Amino acid sequence: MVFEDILNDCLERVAGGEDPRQCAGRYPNHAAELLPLLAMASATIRVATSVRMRPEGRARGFERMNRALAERGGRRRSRVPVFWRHMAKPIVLGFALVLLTAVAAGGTTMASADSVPGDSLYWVKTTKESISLKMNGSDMAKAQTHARLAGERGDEMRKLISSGRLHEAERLVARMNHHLEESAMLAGVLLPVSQAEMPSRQPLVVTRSTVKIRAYLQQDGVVLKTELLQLWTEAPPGQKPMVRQIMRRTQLKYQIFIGALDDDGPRSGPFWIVEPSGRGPR
Amino acid sequence: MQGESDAQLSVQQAVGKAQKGDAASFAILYEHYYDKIYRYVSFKTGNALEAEDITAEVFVKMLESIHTFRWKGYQFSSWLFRIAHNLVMDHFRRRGRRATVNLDDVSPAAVGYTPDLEHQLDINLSMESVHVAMKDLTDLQREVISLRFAAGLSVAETARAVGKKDNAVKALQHAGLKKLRNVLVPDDPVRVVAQVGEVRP
Repeated sequence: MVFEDILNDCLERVAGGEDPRQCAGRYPNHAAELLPLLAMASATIRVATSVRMRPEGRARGFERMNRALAERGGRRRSRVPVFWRHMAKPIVLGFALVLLTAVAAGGTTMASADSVPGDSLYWVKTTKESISLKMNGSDMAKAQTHARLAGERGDEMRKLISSGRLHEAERLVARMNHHLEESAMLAGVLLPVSQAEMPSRQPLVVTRSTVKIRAYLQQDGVVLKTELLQLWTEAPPGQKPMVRQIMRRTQLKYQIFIGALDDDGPRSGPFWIVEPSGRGPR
Repeated sequence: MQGESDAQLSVQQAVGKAQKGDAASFAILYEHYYDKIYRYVSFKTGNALEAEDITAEVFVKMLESIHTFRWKGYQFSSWLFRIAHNLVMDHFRRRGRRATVNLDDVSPAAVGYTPDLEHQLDINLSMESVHVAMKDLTDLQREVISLRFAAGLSVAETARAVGKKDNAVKALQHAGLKKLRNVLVPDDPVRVVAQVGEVRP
């Protein structure tokens, strides 16, 4: 075995949590050369992984990607007059500048973005949300904001579950559902009690707003499902039923809303099975 | 191992759906790779805000060109890190010469140096000191060290990202670590005294 392979073997082991000295002991003839290099690698990994990631940076990046995704969709079937296409960029940039200034001025608002129910800054966050709902002019804009806020409640739910605050997380389910129901009502969608009882109704007029709402729901629903599933897997046996209950209730409303937007009519049989068994829900 | 292959499978599914324009799959890929890409970029730029911008740009580029990605014997992560690498290089070109720290300023004290074997195995480095030392490495060595230790890629993924064979990556990793050690810990007591019998098991 050449030294490069030995070094790599130890690097893999050290990355997996083994002490560098222990691994060097496996290769007594090379220990003197291995140890300094393993120590160097450990120190480098420590430095690289000590970088603090700001949640707001992550959220901004995500928003930027979604914007690009929406723009790409828009470009494909754009019927916007040329004048507005040229004007859009400066307007967006101007708006972003105003927004950035507001954000920079409101450090507290930013700090509150990560808060969960029970935190001292949580009221700042909910007040900001109420204001943003009031600032929305049209019903469709309000519907989009409610859909986004449902995702925000989901994020808070995940944080609460991972810190063991299950009862508080469960209380958020009702608030999340409230946002989804408000969003549906404002978008002109009648939500049935379940997808199995999908009522007949007038076909929904598909607009860019409903497409956007659907994209929010789809994204947040999938991310929440994945994260809750992960938490369910990691939860101690005593907490699993409650996490499963939260998963069921959140996924149910998301699926009903998406189904209603897709207008895919009544379904027979089980519409959505969230039954963690073995490796998790199907 | 099972978890790793499950994750790979779900990445594969997400990539397939994202190529068809599925928004949720882009969200899954973003969640899956954000941390690794961010660590890699911040390790290379040494600046948190710039790293956030570049990382965001990586995912926009991913979105724009994912339709060109093909599973031809290499993993999606390698493709994504190529994008990240190119954007970091563009960033350096735009910024001109990199902000530098004088090598003389990085004294052994600045890297937590203590002439004692026990402490020597627990070196405390700062991001700045590593940055300075990385400049002594060749481009390929630097890239391999960043991908392996900051992004946490495997040898195989790193090999595909830099377009080299696995053995070449192992050799580059060896040479890179050696050079880093020489720069950051010049009077290395470990090199002098470490023998198996003297090393605590």
